[in-house]
Amino acid sequence: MSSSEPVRVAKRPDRFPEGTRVWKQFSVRGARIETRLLEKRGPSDADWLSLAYSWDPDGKDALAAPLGVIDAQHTDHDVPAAGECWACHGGRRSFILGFSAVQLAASAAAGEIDLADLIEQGRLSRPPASAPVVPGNSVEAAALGYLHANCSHCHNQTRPARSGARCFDPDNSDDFTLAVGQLDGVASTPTYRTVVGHAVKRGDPDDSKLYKLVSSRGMFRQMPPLATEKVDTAAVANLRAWIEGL
Amino acid sequence: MNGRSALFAPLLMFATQPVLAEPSNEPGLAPGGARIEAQAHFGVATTPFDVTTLAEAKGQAVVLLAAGSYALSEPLSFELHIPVVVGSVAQPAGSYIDAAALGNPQLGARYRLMQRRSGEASLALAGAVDVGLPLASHAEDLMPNRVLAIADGVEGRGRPEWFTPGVMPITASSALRWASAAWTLETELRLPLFVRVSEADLPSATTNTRSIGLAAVASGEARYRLSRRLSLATTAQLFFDIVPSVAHVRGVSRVQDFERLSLYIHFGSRGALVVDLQTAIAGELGGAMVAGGLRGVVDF
Repeated sequence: MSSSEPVRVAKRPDRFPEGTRVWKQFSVRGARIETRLLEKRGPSDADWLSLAYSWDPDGKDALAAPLGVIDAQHTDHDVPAAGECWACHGGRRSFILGFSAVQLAASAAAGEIDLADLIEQGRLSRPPASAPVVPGNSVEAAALGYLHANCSHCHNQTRPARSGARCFDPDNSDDFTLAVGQLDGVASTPTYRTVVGHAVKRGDPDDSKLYKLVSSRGMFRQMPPLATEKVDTAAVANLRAWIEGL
Repeated sequence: MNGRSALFAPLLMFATQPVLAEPSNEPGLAPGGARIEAQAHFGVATTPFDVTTLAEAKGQAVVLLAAGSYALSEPLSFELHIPVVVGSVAQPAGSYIDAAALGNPQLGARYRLMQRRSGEASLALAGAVDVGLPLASHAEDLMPNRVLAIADGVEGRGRPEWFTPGVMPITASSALRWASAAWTLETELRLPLFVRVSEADLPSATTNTRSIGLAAVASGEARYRLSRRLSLATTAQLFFDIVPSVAHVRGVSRVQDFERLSLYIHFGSRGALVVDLQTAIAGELGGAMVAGGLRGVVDF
């Protein structure tokens, strides 16, 4: 963040200062494949530039890839087209995903930033009194964390109304968000209040819509619908254990 | 009568009426006659797309076709085909964006080279030349280019002259048709030649366009008249990619099969509605394309 203006925080970060830039880099077997950039170029919530850069095979230069790349550098990694960023990022007013108190609470590695660093640097308008802790035992916490990180940017009940391109119109009745103030116990989380008993059938993963979608891949029968071609087997195993234990 | 019988009884009555009129499968039109055709095929397809960074085009498309022909004389008729495509194109990460494109309109002349009759049977040989207007849509974001590629897949890669942007296609063809009261057998060979007139917005760094391209399409249809109202047809088609108008960026099968099952519903001798179901077994489209839809033909 180039500005001294803090990140405006309500229950979660919802507005980043103009000039904010966020990068994310993808490597396959140690070789850089793609670097994504999000840049706040104006004051409004829609003033985000989104673009991916595709690296040359020699790793010396990366070129903008506004149309995306299929199977970049002969790997199975696909670089998204610029217009696709809104499909997921457009589901949060903040546009940035992953920059939430819950996901920043763990201590970061050297050279990276975590919640404590942001508080210490005065980067948050309303810093939390203490680092949030995901409720539940290890299986429950892992399931809630996975659903928050992979599902809540589309399935949440505070999605902004945007006029820009959005690829899907997710079911708003489901909410997988983990937010400060809703972490007193598992029953307090939106996932338990809106999903368990509906898309999740207690004790029966094989009859749970959520489990079927995250454990398969294919057109119109997978979740998340974008940016994934392989089942996350470890996460699916944990979700199965979580549903069986409900 | 149970529910199923109630459902099928009218259809059976419709299908088993005696043959009272010659079907509208007479070869050619009478002098001064005209024919109007319309088609809407919907399908999903994943097809080769010859840009290094986007080596396939995947999505759904509706291929709309408006066509008309006019018989100037007994052997000579003129034809016009205007293809239009609307669809959704899969983006690299998996989202879909809607797109629409105009194909290359085709102006053609068809000449009946020979016709023989023997009782109820007839045999006809015709030759045709079609020239395409190089109007197929293209754009920097390659969305029209990609939706046209998907449409090409929906039609089994058998109509590249409709769906290749940046070229003027010139297609020579010949068709041999034998028809009796119950059977119609027709074979056709088409040779689309592509003369490049623009790069069609294809990026020069990741594509290699050619000034000339050539393909061949051989097809055969067998149609059986079930009743006055109904005919059943099966079509097989082979596409040969002789000289691609854009060099392939990966290994692409140079031969493509295509199969179609059609139900013709005849309306007297002047009109027919055709229900098509089409797919491919092998080649690039094997397991990657299924489509269906309607065609309608009316003679005046």
